[in-house]
Amino acid sequence: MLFLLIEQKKCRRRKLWLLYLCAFLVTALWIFISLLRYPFDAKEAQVGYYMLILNFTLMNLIFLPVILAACASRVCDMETKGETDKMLFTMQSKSSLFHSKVLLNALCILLFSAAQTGILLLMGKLFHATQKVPAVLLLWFFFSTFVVSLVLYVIQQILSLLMKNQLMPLFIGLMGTFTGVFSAFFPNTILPYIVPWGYYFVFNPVSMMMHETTNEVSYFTVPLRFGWIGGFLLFGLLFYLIGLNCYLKKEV
Amino acid sequence: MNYTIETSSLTKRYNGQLSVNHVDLKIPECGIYGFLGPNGAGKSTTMKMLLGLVKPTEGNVKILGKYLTSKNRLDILKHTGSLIESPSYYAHLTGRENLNLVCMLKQAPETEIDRVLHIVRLENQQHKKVGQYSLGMKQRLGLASAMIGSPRLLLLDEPTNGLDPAGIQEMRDLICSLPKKYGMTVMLSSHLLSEIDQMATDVGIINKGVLIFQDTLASLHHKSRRKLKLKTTDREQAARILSTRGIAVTCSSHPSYLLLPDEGDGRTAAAITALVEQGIGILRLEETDKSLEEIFLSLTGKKVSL
Repeated sequence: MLFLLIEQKKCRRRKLWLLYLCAFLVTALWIFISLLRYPFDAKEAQVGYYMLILNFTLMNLIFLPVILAACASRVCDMETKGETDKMLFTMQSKSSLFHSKVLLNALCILLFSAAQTGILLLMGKLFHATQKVPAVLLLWFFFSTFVVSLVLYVIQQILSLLMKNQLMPLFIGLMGTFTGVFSAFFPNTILPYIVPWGYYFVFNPVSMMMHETTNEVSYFTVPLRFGWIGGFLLFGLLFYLIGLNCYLKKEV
Repeated sequence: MNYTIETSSLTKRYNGQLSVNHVDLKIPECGIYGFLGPNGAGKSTTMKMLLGLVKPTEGNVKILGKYLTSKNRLDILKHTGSLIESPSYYAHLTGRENLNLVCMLKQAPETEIDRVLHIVRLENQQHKKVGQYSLGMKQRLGLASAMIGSPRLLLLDEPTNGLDPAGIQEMRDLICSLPKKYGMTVMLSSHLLSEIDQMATDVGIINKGVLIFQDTLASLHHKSRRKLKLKTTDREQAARILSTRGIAVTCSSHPSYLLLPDEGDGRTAAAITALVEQGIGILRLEETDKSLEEIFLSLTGKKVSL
């Protein structure tokens, strides 16, 4: 708890919260404005929450990986720039520094996920979605946003701590976003499942289909691929263990 | 004698190359230990090993009577303060906020901040962001961080780096006052011989990872035999006369002086009498100490750029 408080004090004037707020505002405003321009018609209102979940998932897929890379870089860069390692590690363990950074950002991601789920629900009400609130799907959306973001954040933090030049992890995050978005265009291939940055899409339980003849779009739920989800969590855990070990072994 | 730091056979090897080679340090309590050596001699690596920041390839470290292990490292280091290589700081925070973080980490009371700020004379700049500090101010902030919690042991790696002459003098005075005022033991590294000469009570000299000398500063000076500087009316003639009497005379860097070994008052009196008898006028006779550069040279057998 003490180390978390210290981490929070260190981030003063780093405006870490602003990055998460930006991500929240951009995703929410984007969908809000598009709904203002094209509100639900009666048919869409019946699947309003499905549409919102899918739209928010796609927004997260586009914006969050870069934001998470920037957040990780921001909290790690201050240590690299100020050469604080040789001072800090005479007073705290490397592992406590690593985990306090993860914990601080995990809290931010938790708040972000909760706020996004909340605004999704609010938009459903505001734009008169007639569909019954799919509580389980909303909870899953909250959980999946949190878990995927946390895994991606941990990956970025490890990269930021191991690399002196912070441009590299940022570049990896940016390329990850591109590959993640790109993979979503090929849902029936293996591509979305092998790119960690695309897992917002894999975790998403809602899909859509456009009927070629009528040009009508239908939204429906799809069964979750728990095998891949489990594999992703295992990958996250392995990356965390190996990354943490590399960081602990790194000499000052 | 009580030692604050003792190492035995401390060794660090990087890619098969010895950076620190079986170093046995003995740093006495409540003194200032000058750790001297040219750039790249292994001073910083040794100090990092003392703090557990770098894992020794071989050997062990005993600090404040306890062997340093990965388990008790942080407990032991609670009683130490350090400034290694360059000062560590968060540029986006003020000096006071930086010290506050150290206070929290060391679980020291916040009153410590004012105390150390006063010691390093940074009270007026405490609310300025450290990113806007000069190098000297950052150095002083680093020293203030190291002194939070009144540690029993301070490890300072080249603490006067980047300071202006006035800052260097201030830092020297401050370091010299620490053992007496606060009962601290200070280990201080430098590649500047004059600096160690002015501050240290004990000296360790490291070269190419090997500790080539370790004793008190007085003993280091004693090791260097004093010489006599002689100014006469005719240097060449005087040199000839003294040489014929078996006295090993060398020419000083100063054009009108001769250097004679100090072999006791009797021999000196005989040499002077011989010169006077030959009509050579004696203008000046001074005692001169061997410079530390010369001592280093005699210890290593090699000239080093210090």
